[in-house]
Amino acid sequence: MTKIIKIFLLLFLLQNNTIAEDSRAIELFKEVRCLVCQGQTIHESNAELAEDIKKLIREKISQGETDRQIKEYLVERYGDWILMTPPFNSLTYILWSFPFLIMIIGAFAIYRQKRGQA
Amino acid sequence: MAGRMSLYIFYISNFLLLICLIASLMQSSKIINNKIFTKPGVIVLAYVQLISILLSFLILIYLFLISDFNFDLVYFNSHSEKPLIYKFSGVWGNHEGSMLLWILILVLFNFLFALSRRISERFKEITVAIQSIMIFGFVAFLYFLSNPFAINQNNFFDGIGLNPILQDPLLAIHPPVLYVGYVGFSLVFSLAIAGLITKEVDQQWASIVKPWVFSAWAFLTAGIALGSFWAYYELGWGGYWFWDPVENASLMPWIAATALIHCVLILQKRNVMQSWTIILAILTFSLSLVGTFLVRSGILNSVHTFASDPGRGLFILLFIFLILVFSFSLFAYNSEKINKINSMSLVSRGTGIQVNNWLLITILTIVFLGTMYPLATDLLLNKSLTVGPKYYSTTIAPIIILFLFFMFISPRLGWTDTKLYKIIIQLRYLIITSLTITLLISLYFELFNLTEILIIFFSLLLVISSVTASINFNKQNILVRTNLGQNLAHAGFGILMMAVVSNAVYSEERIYNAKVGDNLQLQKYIFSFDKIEQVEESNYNSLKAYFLMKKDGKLIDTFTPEIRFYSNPPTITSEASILHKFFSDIYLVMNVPQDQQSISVRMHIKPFMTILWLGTLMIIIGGIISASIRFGRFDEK
Repeated sequence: MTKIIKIFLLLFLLQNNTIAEDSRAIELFKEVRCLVCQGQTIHESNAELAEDIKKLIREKISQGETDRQIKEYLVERYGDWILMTPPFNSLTYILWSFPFLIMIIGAFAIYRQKRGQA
Repeated sequence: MAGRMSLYIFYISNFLLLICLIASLMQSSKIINNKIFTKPGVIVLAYVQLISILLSFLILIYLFLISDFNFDLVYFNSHSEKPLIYKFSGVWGNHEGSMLLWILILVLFNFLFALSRRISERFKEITVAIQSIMIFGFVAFLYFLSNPFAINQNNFFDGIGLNPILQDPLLAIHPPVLYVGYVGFSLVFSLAIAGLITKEVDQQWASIVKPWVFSAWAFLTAGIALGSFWAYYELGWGGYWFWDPVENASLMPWIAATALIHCVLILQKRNVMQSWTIILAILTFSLSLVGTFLVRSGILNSVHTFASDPGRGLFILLFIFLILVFSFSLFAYNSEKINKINSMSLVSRGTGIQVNNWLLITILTIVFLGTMYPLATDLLLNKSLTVGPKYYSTTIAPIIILFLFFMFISPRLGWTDTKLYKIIIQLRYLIITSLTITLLISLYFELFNLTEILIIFFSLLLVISSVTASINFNKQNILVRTNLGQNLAHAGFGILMMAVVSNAVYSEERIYNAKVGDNLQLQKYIFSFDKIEQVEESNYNSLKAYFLMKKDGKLIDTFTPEIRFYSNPPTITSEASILHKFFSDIYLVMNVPQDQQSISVRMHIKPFMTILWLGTLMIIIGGIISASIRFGRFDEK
């Protein structure tokens, strides 16, 4: 009886394991752009190239590489373009910080206008 | 040779366009207070403009319905075997036809405004004149650069057909609705310019503008929602908003317009923020132009399509540029004269609206940057970037929290200085209730992300606050009429935000390679792959899979995702099969089979989708109610 339970437990653990890895792969697929489609991630696409990159990512996951390592590898090979979310670097300083600058300027302007009236 | 009938139609329709050009020219000349062109009057000319364009539009519909392939437009965009409704919607499923529809709506707004009463003659003349300058520009563009009535000398046997992805009943009505929104802002723009010219941007101006700006906004909201709903079930990617350039292009004028309607309201009530309202009116219309045309000309998707058709793209860019230069120089020249001395206290409803205006501008900046930045780096630095959904969600989420807070608190503040702590004490039960519910939700669903919790909390606060504000009894226990439009739209927005966040958190998906007979699992449901068969329809063939959804062994529903093979033009599309339930949607979509043995099937559980659409619907209805209520009737203290 305990044997059977153990086998079941093992099966359960195994299954959980594969699912966990699968969802990690899916999360990564959603971060990687399909290079031949229009604005789709490889997750949404079933183009041949997308399938190849999916396979590559699965292999790298099973080799124990971290998400970061996998992304760095992809960027090295295909450029920043392949990442769905642009990284914060010299090219994207304005992209990431400008909105907050706008917000602060606005807050300051409204406050000054009100104080001017008081 | 083209048939004799086709030739006649060709001459007549082009003649009609010329008539509209002349009428619009005469109409625009009234901008100068001249004595020569007093006759024909504004209304007569508006009739001529409307009838000429309406007739040419009807002719174009007729050409599509009878499939006259002597006309290039029909040849390239229609097919004789297409179902009737898509022959009809094929009229605006292309550049030239949609331009004509755009102009028709432009002329219609011009006409409706010309008929409206209780507006001084001179102000009406100037507004219609400005509107007619635009009509002239667009009809000239249509006539010379993208004439829908161009004919060919070949006797084509059949047409090429409409892109199958556009062959959808929703997409037949999506463009007209969206266009009514976009074009509605042209009238608001004309009114703003007329206000600048007459230097009368005051409370009366605001009450003239109000119904137009609200109805345009409601239509734009509905148009965007229809597009999003279409993407949800037609594209088969399991999402409703992808932050792609085309969607963003329609969201940008919406954000500007949302700021604008609130400014018009404060202008009407308090006679403040004249300049800012005018700037927003100009901005909204410019963004509407960007939304309609830059999308169609392909500049946003790819720089290369622009090069392939430089004439059209350049015209639109030039037009937007002229509008901006003209209106801002007029603004710079006259803005001193329209501004009254502002007086708004720091803690007041006006300030709340001002703050949210600025937050909207910040969100607009984000959407603009996200859309244009990759284009800029590509053109200027030759470096490609992708700006995906995560950029938008991470930058916008914190702003939404503040935005929801001010949306909740502002209507509760008075127009004059209010003590904030008094309001908070007044609303203590409301705040405690929302806080408790949020805590329960976050514990029950194991939600521990601070941003998400805060969005849910403030949305909940906004919803409850808007609902309680609309149920208001006076001392005699009679239900007082309150600002229903506002409360409905605000509650809708809160519901929408809650649904968006919970949907993002609790969506689940599985991808399987399945063979007939397989049982696939998604949460507590089992899907048995029953069979796959070929179906022949009039305009496509399809591969239809049958999945039986079971829960605890009992059959609940049958799913039939399809892959369609259209022949005119040859295209493959994937049709999702969706079960809508109140709390969640179940969504099955099949990919084109890689091999003969199995198909790839993707299953999604999308919670709160129905609620998401419900929130959107509330916003639209709120807008319509506000548009139909004339000024001053629902004034609160």
